[in-house]
Amino acid sequence: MTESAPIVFVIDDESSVRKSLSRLLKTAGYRVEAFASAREFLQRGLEDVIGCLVLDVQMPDLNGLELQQALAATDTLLPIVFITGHGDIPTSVRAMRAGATDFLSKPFDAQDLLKAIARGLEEAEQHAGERAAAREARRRIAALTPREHEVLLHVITGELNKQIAAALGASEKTIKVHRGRVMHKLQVQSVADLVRLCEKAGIRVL
Amino acid sequence: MGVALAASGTRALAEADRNDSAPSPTVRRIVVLCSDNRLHPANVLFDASLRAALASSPGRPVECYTEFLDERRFPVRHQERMLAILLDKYSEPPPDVLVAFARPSLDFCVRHRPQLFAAVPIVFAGLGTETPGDDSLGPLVTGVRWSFDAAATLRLAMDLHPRTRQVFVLDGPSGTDATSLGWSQLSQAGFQLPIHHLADSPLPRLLQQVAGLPPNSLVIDLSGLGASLGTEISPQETMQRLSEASRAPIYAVADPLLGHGLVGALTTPTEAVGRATASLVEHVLARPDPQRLPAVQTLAARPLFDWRAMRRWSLRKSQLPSGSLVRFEPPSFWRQHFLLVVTSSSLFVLQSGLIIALVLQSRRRRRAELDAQRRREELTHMTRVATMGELTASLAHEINQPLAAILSNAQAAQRLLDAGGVDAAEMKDILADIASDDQRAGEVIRRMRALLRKGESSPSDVDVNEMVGEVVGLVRGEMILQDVSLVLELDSEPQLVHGDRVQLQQVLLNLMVNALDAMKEASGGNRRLVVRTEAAEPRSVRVSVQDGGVGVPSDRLEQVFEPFVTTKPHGMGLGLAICRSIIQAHGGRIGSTNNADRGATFWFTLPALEEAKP
Repeated sequence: MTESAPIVFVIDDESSVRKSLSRLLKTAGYRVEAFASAREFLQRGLEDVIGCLVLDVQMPDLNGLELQQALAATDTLLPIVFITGHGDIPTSVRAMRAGATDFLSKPFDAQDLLKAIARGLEEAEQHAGERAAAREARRRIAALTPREHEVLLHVITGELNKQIAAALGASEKTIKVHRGRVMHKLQVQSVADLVRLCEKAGIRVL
Repeated sequence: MGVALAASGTRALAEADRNDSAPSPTVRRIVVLCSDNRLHPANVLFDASLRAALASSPGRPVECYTEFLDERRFPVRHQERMLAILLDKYSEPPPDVLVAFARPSLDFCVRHRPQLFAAVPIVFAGLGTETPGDDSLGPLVTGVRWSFDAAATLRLAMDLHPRTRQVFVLDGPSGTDATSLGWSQLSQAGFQLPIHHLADSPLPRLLQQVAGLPPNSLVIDLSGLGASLGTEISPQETMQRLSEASRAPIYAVADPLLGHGLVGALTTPTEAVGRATASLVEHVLARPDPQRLPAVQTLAARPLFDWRAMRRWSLRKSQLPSGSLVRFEPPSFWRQHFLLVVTSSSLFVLQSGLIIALVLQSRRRRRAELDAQRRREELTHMTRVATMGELTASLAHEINQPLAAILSNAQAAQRLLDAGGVDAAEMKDILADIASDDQRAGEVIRRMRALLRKGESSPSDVDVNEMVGEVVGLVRGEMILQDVSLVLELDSEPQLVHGDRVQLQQVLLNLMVNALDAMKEASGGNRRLVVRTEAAEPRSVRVSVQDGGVGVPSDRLEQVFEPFVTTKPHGMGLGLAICRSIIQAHGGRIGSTNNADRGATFWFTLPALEEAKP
């Protein structure tokens, strides 16, 4: 969980749209930052930002879809709600396939927009949580010694201590000691938890 | 001439007679004895027609000798002197025929017959039908009678002047044939209206009398002379003056004075009498039996009129009885100026025909022009609509923007009010924004409507910079849609021209839409549209639209402005043609060039307005 409250970023080349949207979103209690173009937005730092993008598809210079691609390339977790004055179906399909939360035609109802933003933020939060957990898992695993790491890999395949000792050429007692230290370092109680942690860290069970 | 010839002939023959007792067998001699004097119109007419008829007859030539009794001006003793002269002149040899014209002459010839040419046949003429019977005249007398009917004349005159209330009769000298006869005819006819005498008085008195006639009167001239004794004025002039002074039309029983004011006469024309007399003379000369003459002829009367007098008394030819002879009618304008009339009327007809043809042609041309103009306007309108149609998507976008802002603002306000906090300043702000967005949308619609409206051009002063801004406003959405960037390079000074705003907008719109089309396949950096306005020479404004598209094939730079030339698959090919006609109608020029790097530039110039408005 990050410290800052979620921000809604409004990107539209029409000032009247920016102004009215900002007003509306503020009444919903969101923090709003408005930008006239995608480039301007990209210049704002996006680390550790929890937020949502309200983005016009047709803009001069970089358009909405291109921005979507650009953001996906970075590791930023910003859900996008597309708004458009142009009810163009192929564009909307493309946008949704690329992972947009929603695609609204102007003039849209305030409720529809707010619902989409809320949905997006929920997703974002969820993703943020997952990311954080993964990072934590990886951190913990990184703290293991090489020997412990080996043992870990064998444990999550379901092998008994005797088998692991035989595989690694150590005594059963030594293996038991390593096993205990891994569990302790990774702060898990059971093998099942261990497996889950490894999954979160991105370690696949073979 | 005949008389002179006759005179010399007489002398010659008389000399020949003295020398040679036998008369020449080839020539026949006629002595004509007229009553009255040489210049009396009846005598003149009769003598002339007699001589003319005799001269033109076949057979042996006839010589005429005319003598005049003039018995009115000379008393009876003169008759004896005349007799002596006649005998002296014409005894040896005696004439072949003696023609006696009018009653006094016939009386003289008959009375003095024993002394005067006893064996010579007498042919009388100029006597009316009422004169003494043929038998009492003696042997070897024949003649031509003419119709003399005063009553018929009066009836004819009354038919033509139905409102006549009284009749005045111009008597001749008392005792003359015509007068008494005429009067007896009139009284026998039993006319209902009063018939008065106009006595034979000196001319001044007569003039007074005829001038003072009551209205609706008629005058019948029985005197045949219209002359009073002792005046030097000729009968012709007397009648002329009488008829001019008279308040009533004058009709006569004889025709010699017709032409001197008389309206008409019911009589035998004296010329006819002369001709008939000539013919009778011929027959007499050629008679097989010396003792028997051809019978007396009676000639019929016919109505005779003077056209000029008719006009004075408002008579029309259609009123006259059939068989009437109208004298002194001037040949109609037609006959007189036949050639002139034909030429000028045909010229006139030709000219009129030409004028009509030209008028018709001009009217047809004008109608065709109007038709063409109407069709041009429709076509211009259609392409305007088509061009605008290409922009509907982006125009919808243009309108959706303000609509979206308005809705968001309104709903934001609602939420604020729901939340309970009423910040008046904030509300004012919101409402102001709503209003301005609404107006913005209205602007777009207004511009659309202006361009889509069908109508006639209305010229005004147009700032080209402003106009460019308006068109850009309409195309902006499309440019965003197509991801084309716009660069405006407008002259810092207002560029004023005089023209139709809507039509000029149409041209620019067309050029810009074409530019966007040209850049459909262009890559990022080339998707650029530059619109420039600048002052140009000579005193013009130049507008150019530069694109980064495919350009125009260099051999078609001019051709693209022709109608039905298009590169679009579904294009009509008329947009640029219409642009050209609009620009040319504004007195400008339009053209295209290919850019050095990529794409084409379409430009047009317009004459600049003289004075920039302050």
